[in-house]
Amino acid sequence: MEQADSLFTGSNSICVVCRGAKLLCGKARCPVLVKFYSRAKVKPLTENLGIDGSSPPGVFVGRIGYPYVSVGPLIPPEHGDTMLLDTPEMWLGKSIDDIVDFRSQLVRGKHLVHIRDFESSKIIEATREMALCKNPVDVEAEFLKKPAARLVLDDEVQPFGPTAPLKKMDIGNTKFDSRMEKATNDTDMLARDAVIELYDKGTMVSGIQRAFSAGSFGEGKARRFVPTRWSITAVDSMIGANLMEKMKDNPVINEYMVFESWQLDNRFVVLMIPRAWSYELIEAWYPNTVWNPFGKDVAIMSSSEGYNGRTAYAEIGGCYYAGRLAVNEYLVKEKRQARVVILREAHPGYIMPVGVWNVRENVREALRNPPHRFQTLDDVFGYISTRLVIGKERWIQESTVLKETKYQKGLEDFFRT
Amino acid sequence: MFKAVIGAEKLKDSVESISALVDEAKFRITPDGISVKAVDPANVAMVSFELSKDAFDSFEASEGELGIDLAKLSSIMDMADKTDNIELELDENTHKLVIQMRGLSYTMSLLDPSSIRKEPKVPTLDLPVRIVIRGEDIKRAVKAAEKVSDYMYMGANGDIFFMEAEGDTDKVRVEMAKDQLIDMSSGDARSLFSLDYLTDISKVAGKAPEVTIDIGKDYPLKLKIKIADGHGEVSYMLAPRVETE
Repeated sequence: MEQADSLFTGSNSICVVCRGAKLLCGKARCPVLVKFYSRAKVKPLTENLGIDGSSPPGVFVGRIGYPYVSVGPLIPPEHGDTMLLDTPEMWLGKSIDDIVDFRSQLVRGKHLVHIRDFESSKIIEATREMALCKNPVDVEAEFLKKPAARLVLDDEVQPFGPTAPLKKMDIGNTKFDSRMEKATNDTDMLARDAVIELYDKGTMVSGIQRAFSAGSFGEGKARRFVPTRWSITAVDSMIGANLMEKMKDNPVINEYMVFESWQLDNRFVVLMIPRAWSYELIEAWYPNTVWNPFGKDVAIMSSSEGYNGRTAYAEIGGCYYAGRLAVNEYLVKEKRQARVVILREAHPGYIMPVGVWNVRENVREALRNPPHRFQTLDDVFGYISTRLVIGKERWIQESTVLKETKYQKGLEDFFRT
Repeated sequence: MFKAVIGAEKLKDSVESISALVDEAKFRITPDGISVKAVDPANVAMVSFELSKDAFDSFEASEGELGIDLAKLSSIMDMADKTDNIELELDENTHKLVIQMRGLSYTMSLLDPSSIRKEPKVPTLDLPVRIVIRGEDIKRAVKAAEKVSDYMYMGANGDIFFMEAEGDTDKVRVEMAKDQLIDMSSGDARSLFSLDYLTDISKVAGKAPEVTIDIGKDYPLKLKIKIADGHGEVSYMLAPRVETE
């Protein structure tokens, strides 16, 4: 017991708060990411100033310099069905090496443009068209400089490969996804409504995020490029919030349910509690994992919301909204309501950030499998303690929602039996 | 049928007392008045509200139920002056509520009462301590507690009533002896409550000259006030936090 305690003493590392985005350590580049870059073996994909291949389709919008941002396609050096390369919905079961391997083939062409400037260049027009396509698009691109061999990592965005400024690009035949085309042609519809309509019609979340980043939706004048990193969370958040409104009309589940999914040395446990909606994501980063590189102790961080939701951005970032979408998707489908806590342990095999899709798709995967069912919170943790390393007391201590569940009584507890 | 006229301030206070806990509610109408029973989504707090027909300038009604979006009704009431009279009438054909004030007529659609959370069962509680206190004293204690914590104790040591909150570094305690209160039945009690709920409840209670509170040991509290010059009553019940096993 003492040993277990000593593992958890000390404060959270700043890395788990920053995740490479805010540079809280004051250094010019994130030392954690630099370490991964130096390790990543990226072969030069091209010795030429050009590339010719089928884009999945993939589009990337940078965030540095906003409102002047780098926009352009992601292009692999091969033709054919490359859809897998930019469709995180298809990546469950892939190893980190697999993901790095196929993502590092994607060369990012970039073109600097103002977020509202859709017309100044053919590169921009072609990139925006690609974002609406349902199948891979043949692209021929010429660069101003040779793409530098490297892998780009981010906590929110899936990794991608070498980058180079675009000189020109030509695209082959494009076939729009008809649902996307309809949404993009409607210049009176709010972006939020377009996102929700596309989701309801079964469009993949990653596809909506791609088109959203390319400024495909919204009232005509309001359209703009949205950095990929922001568009991922904007879309997760909008879809989740819409599902949540429906979910709140449903009856509460009548027992505790525990779901789980293990991927990339991440353990996800989704705990559903038979009480009114509230939600929390708690992440425990082991020493030597991505966002706890230098610590000796497990770093734990969480964000939560009560029944009426939250207005400030979640402390732990986009993964919070990705998880919220996935659990509400399940509850709406099952026509039930629950209080949900996602417990995530990132173990040392999780060596590099791969993007928030990891949380969304793992929670979805967990919820595709039948749950273990329990009558009490003690029974729940009896089981969870066989699946996760961190113990019940520590989870409860770190969790707003679990504390609330344990300590806040309901009026039903005071009926005389 | 339902047709009634009431002073704007009374109606506004009534709506606020219910919306402290819920966004929508089922109003039960009888020839004698209006009543509401509602519980918050987490089943932690409930409100029972009763307004007699005597609170109205005129009141004609048969038995019925109206499903009301409280946020909407409250925003409509923002357009009324305190001294206005508000006329409420149910349009039986369209099933909408017509609200009239000084030449302004607002036709409000109603919610399907069956879509609103069921009325709660009310636990019968046997609480050892009763105090009667000025509303402003409760409001002040809650405001102070909010500065240090998310929770507040209410309790009694014999003839002393206390409210207490403790944060990581700071602490707030309000003590009132029997003679500083309007009334008190002495005893021992101590329960912890979430300020999420107490804040909203104390905003309503803060306006009342007299608030009756019943408390126990790790037990729910009951809080009761009179509204509409004594022609109505609102009571809340709030479940405690119990941190000991």
